[in-house]
This record gives sequence, structure tokens and C-alpha cells, in this order.
Amino acid sequence: MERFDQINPRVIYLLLAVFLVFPVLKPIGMPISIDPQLTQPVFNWIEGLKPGDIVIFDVAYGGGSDSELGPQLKAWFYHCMRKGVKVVGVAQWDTGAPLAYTAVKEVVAVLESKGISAKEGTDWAYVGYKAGGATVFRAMQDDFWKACGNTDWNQKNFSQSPLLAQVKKWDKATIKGFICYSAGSPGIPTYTTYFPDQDLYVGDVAVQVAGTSNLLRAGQVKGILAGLAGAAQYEKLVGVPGLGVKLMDAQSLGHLVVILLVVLGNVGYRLKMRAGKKRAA
Amino acid sequence: MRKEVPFIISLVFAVWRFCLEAFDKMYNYKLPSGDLLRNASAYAMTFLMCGAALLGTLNLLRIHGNNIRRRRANWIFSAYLLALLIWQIAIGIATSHTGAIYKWPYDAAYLPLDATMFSLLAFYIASAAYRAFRVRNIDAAVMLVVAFLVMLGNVPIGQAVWGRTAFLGGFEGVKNWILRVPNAAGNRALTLGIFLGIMATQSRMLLGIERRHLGQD
Repeated sequence: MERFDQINPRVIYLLLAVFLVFPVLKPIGMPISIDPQLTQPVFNWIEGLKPGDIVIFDVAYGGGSDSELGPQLKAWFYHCMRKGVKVVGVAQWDTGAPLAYTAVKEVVAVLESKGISAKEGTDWAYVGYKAGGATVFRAMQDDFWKACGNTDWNQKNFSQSPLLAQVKKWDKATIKGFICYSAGSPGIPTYTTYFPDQDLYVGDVAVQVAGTSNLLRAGQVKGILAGLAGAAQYEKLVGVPGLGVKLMDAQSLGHLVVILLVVLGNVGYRLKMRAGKKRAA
Repeated sequence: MRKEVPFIISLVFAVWRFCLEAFDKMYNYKLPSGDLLRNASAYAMTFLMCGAALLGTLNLLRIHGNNIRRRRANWIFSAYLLALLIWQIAIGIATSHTGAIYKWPYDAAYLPLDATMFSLLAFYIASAAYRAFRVRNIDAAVMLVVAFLVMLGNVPIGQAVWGRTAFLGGFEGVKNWILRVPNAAGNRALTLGIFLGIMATQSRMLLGIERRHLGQD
């Protein structure tokens, strides 16, 4: 038992790999419950909107966080289109801008196969990344067209898009809320600093949730999709299980392995300490 | 003069920005073009960022160009970097950022590498947690228990063991309480402390007390 104090790292890596890969290949189907404080408010926000209302999503993540935030964005976008809510996408991270466009296009293909309208320019529009940081985001509030150079992701003029033609500024009458998919900085502070009057929702990487929770309690953030679990819960709420649901079993077992390792390490450590004391006595 | 000129420039712009935010007349001032004054200064930021990107590119060309010319150690990586840099700029200008050729290195190299780096963290964290989480004192024990509760509150297996309908709302209820109460309190204290620190440092810089950022004499 004392040997548990010093398990070879290779054994740890192998154990974790097995417990992560196995449930992906053969899902266990553990029950997923909806977090009433974090996930449910995001769902209720979209459910409470009328068809034709406009919301904005912001891409503040890159490739490293795509496995957590990509499924969140896809489930949320699917929900918006099904509900008839119009969506405009912007990006604070240049590295994440192409990712989100690809993710949205994948969902559009699924929606169209089900006969749900998701026409680019009419039902949704994607502006992508614009250089200038938070100050330019702030300028978007007053003159969205000018701040974006009047061109969307595909270099099309805003006036060519029936949806973007409606979004001249980011006031509360035009925009019915924001969701920022955030993996770091720049991200949430852009909104809490410059758009404190707007309803802000957050798609967060799990590691960042502890830092966003105080904003939730203060009312600065209305709801949080927390990591992959948030994606899985949203997929369940929307009724379209995707990558989030599929990967939750792996995440469960991964967490369990870490807990078991820590417990074993402590058992080994305690026994070793006791044996050491006995020898000394 | 090497220090005075940058100091005066930063002071003027800081005062300008402060007045822009502090006084309503300046905040809502419209230029003859119809733009708000504060937004016009935001577009200046875009121009500055583009200028910084150009400077960064020129700097990379200079440093790595020298590496290649003098055949310094690992000069081949410098050549690789410059070749990719020039290739991406040329293709980006010729075909735009949505072109298939421009996007290929992003999809085929950048994304998989970025995702791989982050995926490896899971293994490092598992190994580090096993090594570091030893209950040596009461503080470590509290941290360990809290870590277990939050971890299990985040995943379905925690729900299966101690569900929401059970005492205290199960793992999820306890996790939410930890995040919303003690964690939020600690986070706010940290945030306020950081903010005060930034304010103090900025004040020192603007008053010219702190000058290290302007370089050595």
C-alpha cells in the first residue's frame, strides 16, 4: 500500500487515457441534470424571445477551448434558429473567428436538412474579428456599421444583409442580449465594463467558471454555460444530443480517476509516514 | 529627452482619455463628420493595432533574417517561420482570409496543435494533482475536500452518487454554494485588490514617479 505514494507517471497517463477513451467509444449514458442557476437561465433567455428578435454572440476563444465552447455554441445557435431568433456573430479573438464560422455552418447544414430556415444574411450573420480590441467593440455600440468597416466575414457590405441592415447600433431596443463564449482575455470584461446595461450571458470554459460566478451573483451575468457540462445540458434542453452529451461520460470518469489517484496517493503517504514513525521509535 | 518625451505623450493621452470619459460634453461630442469623438479615437486604436502588427512583422523579419544570414543555432526554424509568415501574408492579400488556401494551414496545423496542447493538460493536471494534493495539514485537507466536492458537482457521476433532490442539493447544490458564496467573496476581494494595485501603478506612471517602463538611463 505504501507504494501508492509513488505511482509511476506512465501508469497515471495510461489509466487516464483508458478511462477517457473507453466511454467515447462505448458511451455509458450517465444521467445529465440541468443546472437551474447556470444553464437554465441561458435557455430561458432564448425561449422568452419572440421570432425576429436579434441577439449577438461573441467568440472570445481559440482552438484550445473549442472542445468545450464549440458544442455550447452549436447547441445555442440551433436553439436560436429553431426559435426564429436572429443571430449576429462577432469575435474578440482572431484565432477563434474562423472556428465559430465553421461551427455555425455545420449547424446550418443540420437545420436545413430538417427544414428549419437558417439563411446567412437573413436569419444569421457573421462579422467575425475586427482589429482594435475593446475600444472598437465599444464603438460598435454607437455605429456598428462604421466600427466594422461595413464588411462582414465574407467581405460583403452590411447593406446586402437584411439582418445587418437592421443592426445600426447595439442599443437595448435592437439587441435582446449578448452571449460571450469566453476562454480568457479579452472576453467578459469588455461587456461588464462597456455594456453594463445589456443582458449578458456567458459560455465559459470550466476552469474560468469560478471567476465568473461572482458576476453571476452580482447580476452582471445572467447565466453561464459552464464548460462541457454546460454544453451537454444545453443539448439536452434543446433535445439534440451532440458532442457535449457524448463526452460527458469521459469527463465523469476522468474526474473519478483523478479523485481515486489523489485518495490512493494520500493513503500511501499516510502509511509511509506511520511506518517512518514506527522505525524512528 | 529619451524619457521625457514618451512621458509627456503618455500623460497627454491619459488626460485626454480621462476627460473623454469624465465629462458628458466631451463624451457626446460629435465631429463635423457625424462621428462621436470617443469613437473616432477608438478607430485610432484600430490604426495603432495595425501599425503594431506591421512593426511586429518587420521586427520578426529583422531578427530571424539575421539568424538565417549568420547561420545561428537552429536557423532552419527561423527560415521555416519566415517562409510561413510571408506565404500567409501573400495568400491572405491575394485570396482573403476566407480563401481555402489561406485557411488550410489554420485547419490542418494550427487548430490540431492548439487542441493537442490543451488536451495534454488533462494528463499533466492528473499527474500534478496526484503528486501535490497531500493532506499535510488542516488547510490542505479543506482544499482537498472542496476540490472533490466541486469536481463531483460538475459531472453526471456526482449526480448519480448524491443527486440534487437529496440533502443540501447533492454535490451540485454544495458546488453551487461554494462557487456563489465563499468563492465569489474571495474573487471579489482579489478583483478589488488588483484594481487598487492597477490604479496605484497607473497613478505613479502618470505622475512620473514610476519610470521604469520608459527604459534604463
